[in-house]
Amino acid sequence: MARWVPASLCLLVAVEAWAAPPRLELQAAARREVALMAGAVVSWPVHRLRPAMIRGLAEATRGSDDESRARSFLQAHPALFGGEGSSLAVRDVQSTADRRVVRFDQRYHGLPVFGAGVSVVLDQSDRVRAVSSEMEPLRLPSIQPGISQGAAVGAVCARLDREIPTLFNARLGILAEGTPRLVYRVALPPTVDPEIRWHLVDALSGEYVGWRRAAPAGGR
Amino acid sequence: MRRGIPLLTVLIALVGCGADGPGQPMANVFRINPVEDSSTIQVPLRHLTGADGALSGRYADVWNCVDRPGRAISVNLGAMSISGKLCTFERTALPDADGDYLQITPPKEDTGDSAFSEVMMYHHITALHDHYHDSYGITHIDKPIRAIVNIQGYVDLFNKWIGLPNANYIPVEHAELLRQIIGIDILDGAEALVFGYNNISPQIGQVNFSFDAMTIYHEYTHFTMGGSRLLQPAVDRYGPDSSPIALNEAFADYFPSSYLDTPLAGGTYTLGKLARNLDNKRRCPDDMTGETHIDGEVASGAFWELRRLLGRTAADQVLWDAALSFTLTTSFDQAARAILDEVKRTAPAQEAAARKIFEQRGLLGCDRLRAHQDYDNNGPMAAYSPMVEGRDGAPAIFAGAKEGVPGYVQYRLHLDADTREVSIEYTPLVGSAGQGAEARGDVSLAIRAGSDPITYTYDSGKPVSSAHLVLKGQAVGEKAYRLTLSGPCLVPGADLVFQLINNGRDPATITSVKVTQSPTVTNPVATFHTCQ
Repeated sequence: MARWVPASLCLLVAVEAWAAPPRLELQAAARREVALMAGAVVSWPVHRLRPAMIRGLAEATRGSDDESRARSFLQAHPALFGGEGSSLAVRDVQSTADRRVVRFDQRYHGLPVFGAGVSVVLDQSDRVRAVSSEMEPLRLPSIQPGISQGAAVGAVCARLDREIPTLFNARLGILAEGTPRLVYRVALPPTVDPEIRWHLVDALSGEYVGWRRAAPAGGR
Repeated sequence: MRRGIPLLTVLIALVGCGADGPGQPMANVFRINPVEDSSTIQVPLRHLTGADGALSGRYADVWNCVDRPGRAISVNLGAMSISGKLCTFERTALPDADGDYLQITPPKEDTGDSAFSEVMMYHHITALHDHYHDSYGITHIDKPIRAIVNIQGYVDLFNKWIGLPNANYIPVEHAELLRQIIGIDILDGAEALVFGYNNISPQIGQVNFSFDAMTIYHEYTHFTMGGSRLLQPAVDRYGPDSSPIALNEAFADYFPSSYLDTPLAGGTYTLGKLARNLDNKRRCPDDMTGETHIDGEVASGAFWELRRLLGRTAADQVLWDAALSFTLTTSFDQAARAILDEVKRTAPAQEAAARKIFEQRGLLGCDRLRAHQDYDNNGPMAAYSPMVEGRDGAPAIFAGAKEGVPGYVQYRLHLDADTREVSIEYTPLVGSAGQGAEARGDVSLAIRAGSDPITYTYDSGKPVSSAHLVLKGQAVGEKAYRLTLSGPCLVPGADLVFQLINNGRDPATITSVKVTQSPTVTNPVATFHTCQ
């Protein structure tokens, strides 16, 4: 006897399959990539699909400046630093007497991925010696917000039991921690919120997600 | 025998004069602060570029916020609103007829408007900038950072000027909000240091934070680390891990201490008996609390030992080389591995000794499980009680966890040979006593029989705990809970591990924990009967 599955269930399964990244496959691909790096010392947090830090490298690069040298390394390891819809925008190049660190911020379809990026450490011979990464593969069903900036600020103020200020800083982007989601990142003036922090509001549902430090606690 | 002065020495002295001598205005400063130093010293103010004699230069742009009413402000505290006036931004430190600033001296009684604050801030920022740049090649700090001293407000409720009782590094986006509130363009979308003074908290005492070089150096080092590094908890197999933020504090203590060649990082002026000392034996997990300044002493103590091993210049160089590669959540363990990698490169003969330091300190692979000791810190030391993050501030992977957010540290308890019942009484407070909002938090205990830590796996994208039991105690008194355990999983003579779990949205401070073991079972219902 033929058994029928409701179309809505098929659709739900299809959506779930599309939305959920194949975690183990992505992790396995990253492990294979790292295994090919001779002499690499790897730090791999237990909850992450990709390593947080790889050191002990001595990989040659190509390029005429530090950004292009770092990019040549990252592009050579797509299983570690690539991803559908993801790109990297250079934040800055910091240096010491021995090292230059090229820091990139992750973007997803042009939106900032808050707190996520990659730091590539170059030595005086332009070789990559180390890389640190907060970059995880992402897949979101939509990057269209369901609420406005003002509504996001309203959600923060409701959580804090404050009146909505006329001044605020709100930006749409991606929160990659846990289950990735589209969020507004909101900063309020110190007369409303004396803590130096970001508030996060789900840009689809308007739910208050939480806060993150934007600076160390006071110097005492 | 009288010895001549080598020509090279003369040349070096002349070059030195070119840097610090004629043409460089002189000023009085404390070498460290008014407690460490009985008098001020004279120093040249370097890199000045301000045409009007203001303390504005290539690496610092200093403003005072004097006690004259400026823009009206209203601080919205939810239940109440405090109105008043912001201080007025001025540059009060100006040169004398000779172009020097020597007429500016420490005030006999600080009223929060002293030009001396500006001089201290300008000199010590440029001094540390030059040290970081010239000694270690750090270049991203080659820009003027705005620094405001004596920030304060006239509070109508108190009918007086109240200083900001702290010092902060403000990252770019928040500085922009400050600029809009202040209303004048002294913070043009750039990072800032904001320093105040205390005239309100008896616990802090009469302190002006810009009178303390250590505090200036601490905040300037936070600025050097920046607004996108070492600011969020990591996640590992023991739950949330606050060590990235502690590491930020450790660097902000260590580099200034190394520069001044003193292990007293916090100094005695602004911190008093809470001053941090890098010449310590602190280690993970024994000394971890979740309070990041305190936990930072584990790492800064290790760095101080590394400095003894390698010497100041070599140690500082490997630490900077490693630190600039760190991200938002680089942990103690990752940092230790990175630093050892740099030691291996620059001083391979010392790698084994350096590794031993980090192993003994528990920076490498710390399991954050420590032996339990009763404590009761109600009172002025409450800020130094262990903290458990709330759902709003926890890493997102824990924010939606069914049971709540685990504490940063776990505790091992050894049961006596005749123990049949254990009571754990704990006091979790949320809110601030100062704002009259202190209350009992929604905090449970995760329990695991045996000596092994409670661990977490994340294969499904959500945390799964190895705890045998998660249970909230019965409310006791106004603020405490008591969880009483008995049953077959409570094995006399064996160990028990517990971890505080915060189900609330706000962080909870655990101000006391007291464990009572009893050979008699008083609770007729066994609470601990599943431990497989």
